Amino acid sequence: MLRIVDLDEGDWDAYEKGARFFSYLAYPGEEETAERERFWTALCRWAIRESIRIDKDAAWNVPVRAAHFVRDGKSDEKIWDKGMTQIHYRLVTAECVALPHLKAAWTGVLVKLGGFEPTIGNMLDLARWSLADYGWKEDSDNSAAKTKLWKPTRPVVHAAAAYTVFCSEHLCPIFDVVDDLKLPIFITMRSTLFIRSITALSEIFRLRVPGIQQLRIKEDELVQFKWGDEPAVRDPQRLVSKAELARCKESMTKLFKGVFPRIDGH
Amino acid sequence: MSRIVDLDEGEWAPHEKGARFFSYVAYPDEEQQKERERFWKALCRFFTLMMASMGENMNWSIRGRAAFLVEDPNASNKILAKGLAQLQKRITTTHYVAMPHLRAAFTGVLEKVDGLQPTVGNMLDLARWNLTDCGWKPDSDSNSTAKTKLWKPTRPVVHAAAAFLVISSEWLSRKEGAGFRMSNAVFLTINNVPILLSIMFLSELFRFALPSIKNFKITEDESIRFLWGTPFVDVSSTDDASEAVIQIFGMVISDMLEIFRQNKNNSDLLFSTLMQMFDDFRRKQKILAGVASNPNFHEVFRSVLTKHSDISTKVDNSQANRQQANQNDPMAPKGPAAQSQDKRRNPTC
Repeated sequence: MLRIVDLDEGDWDAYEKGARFFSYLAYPGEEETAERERFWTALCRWAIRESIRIDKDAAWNVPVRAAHFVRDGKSDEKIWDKGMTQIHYRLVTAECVALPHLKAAWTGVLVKLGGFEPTIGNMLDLARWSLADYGWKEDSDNSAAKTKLWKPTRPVVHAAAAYTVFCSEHLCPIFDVVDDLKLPIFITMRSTLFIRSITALSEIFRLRVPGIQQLRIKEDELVQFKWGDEPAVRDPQRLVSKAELARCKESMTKLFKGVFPRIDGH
Repeated sequence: MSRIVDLDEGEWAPHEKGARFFSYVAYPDEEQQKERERFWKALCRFFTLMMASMGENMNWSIRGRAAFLVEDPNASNKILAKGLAQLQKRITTTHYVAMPHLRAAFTGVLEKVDGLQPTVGNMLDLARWNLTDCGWKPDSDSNSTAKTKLWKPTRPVVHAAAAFLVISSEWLSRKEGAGFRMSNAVFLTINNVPILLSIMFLSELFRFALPSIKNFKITEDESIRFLWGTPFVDVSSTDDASEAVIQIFGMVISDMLEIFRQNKNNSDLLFSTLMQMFDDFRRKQKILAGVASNPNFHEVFRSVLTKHSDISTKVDNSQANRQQANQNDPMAPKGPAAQSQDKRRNPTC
């Protein structure tokens, strides 16, 4: 059965809603509720810490939810690290395995990646090499990659692909981000507009995924992300108005540029 | 001139104002600003987290300042423990050294404590023995060390510590149905505005009584004056005025404790009743201040009591009420005048 996650549900702050999206990306499995909740709290705590490093006055003026800090401890750094690694796995896997096919669904052209045909096997090889610097053992076989990379990515492949596209088109160019996982996640978490845009793009991709034969993903295997009662957008060009996005970009750029070029981990 | 600390200054939450009070009692010295700030932050952090962790599944609606919450948990807990130990030292020292004399200021009778004359030296001996849980070594440290490390730092806030001691032991222990425990009392008091206001009020009354205590001289410029916005006590402290005002203070404190007892479950009513009482007190103070400047003070004071029937009625009523209440309820609150009859309480960590 299709699982629906309403990111706008409840009286949560923007960063908490954003953290909810990323916690599902890291731990999408139904049986992973405990890990997901722990990672969500760790992400929220991290976002609060980074926010007050950028804006020192906010530390005194903006009240934050205390419950995130009740179980603050050494083990939480590990939870954050592990969760971020999981997100990295999802993003790289979605980019290599699913994105060529999703692009082809609109362009009609299935392009090779790194000179390889975009079969799941080939693309998992590529993913493994890309992840070698991030703790993935290059010499592990492809079946391990299928179990540990592709299988957990399948329920959120559309969302991971949507985030990758949004990052490469909107975030990375303006913030000059190259090869950094943390900064785009942090920026996205702070902006309701960005999360809404990613959710909308993710929904467009979700409707296409079951139709892509090579991926063999059934509709009820996927997690549907929605933003309240916001109607689904079918046309990627009409995700967010250009003026709205420009305004958001401008304010975010002002906030981040020059003040805080890179976001640190715990 | 005494140092003034206005707890109502700035846009702070009630528990942050309360924490400011306790941080000053623990670290009153001007040079201890760093320690005070750190303890204040740790108190605010601990209280916020305590509120958030209440209930089965955490209380997600509780919010706090990120500046406190992002503090390193281990470091913050150490600062908290150290600060609470300091607070315990101030409270215990006050309990033994100052309370017998503050009671005597209201009752006129200086009673022995555990069979000892309440001299500073004797009382510091008792205090030392009762602070072993806080890391104090009674058998190794001399009395002069106790004077330096216990009594000296307590002097600027002895009135405030005494006020906290009276309010918390009279009201909170009754509310909790258990004996006085300092850490419990701190966290029950810290965000309770009526209780904090009453502590401020009583602290000012005790500060006013300090010059009349002959056994230890705490000068005006040595003590810290705690305010909550506007000052409660504005009477010039001539000896004659002290005597008369202290009598009125005694009645007010009794009434205050009675109000606590009657309204313990209704904070709004408690707050409004106390505010009314404080306003009433200010009005009487003005009358007394005018009278105190008159050389024939005692004569005029008697005539004032007769003339302003509300004061004399209050005296009679409060005494009659207390007697009535004491007859009906063996646990009825006792004012400082009656406290001298109480068995000594020993504040524990």
